[in-house]
Amino acid sequence: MANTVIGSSIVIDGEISGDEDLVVQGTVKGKISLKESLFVEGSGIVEADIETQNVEVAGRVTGNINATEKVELKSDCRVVGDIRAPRILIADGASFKGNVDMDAKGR
Amino acid sequence: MAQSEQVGIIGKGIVIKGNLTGAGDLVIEGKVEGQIALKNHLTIESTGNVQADIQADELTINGEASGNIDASSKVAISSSAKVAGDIKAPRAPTPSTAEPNRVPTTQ
Repeated sequence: MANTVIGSSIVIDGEISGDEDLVVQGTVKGKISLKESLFVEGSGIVEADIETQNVEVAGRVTGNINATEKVELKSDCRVVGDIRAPRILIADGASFKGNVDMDAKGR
Repeated sequence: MAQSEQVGIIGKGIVIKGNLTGAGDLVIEGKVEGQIALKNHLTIESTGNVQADIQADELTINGEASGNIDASSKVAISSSAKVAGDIKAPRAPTPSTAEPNRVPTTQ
């Protein structure tokens, strides 16, 4: 499967959409909407509203996260924004500021 | 230098609308609309479709590109490529089968 990687020196200002996994090691500002999974790695900075199936955050995310399956906040990540997903996992050491909405019926 | 080894890949299923800047190498297999400014090597694969003004050090086009191209070292256009727009580069080899709609200008 083709894998999309936004390398750590890459900055994207705009809208990313697609139907495959996305790995962010760099910076993305704007909006991300995917049908698959988003991985924000330790060096990754996302200032965007996110709509995906799964999200794994080890870096920084500022923006609202809306996932149809699962959101995982790894230790040492920093997330500011509301999270809406049926399954949410926040690791020990993760920093999170925002609201959690796990009501899957509302979507 | 570690930074030049970092490769970013925009996979086939990904669409980016907006500005893309960076220092690492980048391979585009998907679709990019907007502007690209890259300090290193940009490769547009045969599945790639770029509708953007492109600024890069080195540029390899195997897919479709429309917009103004400004390369600081060289542009390579393969025979499968479709290019529409102005090309500005010190060296711009153009295989006879590729059809830029304008004559490349070299400086």
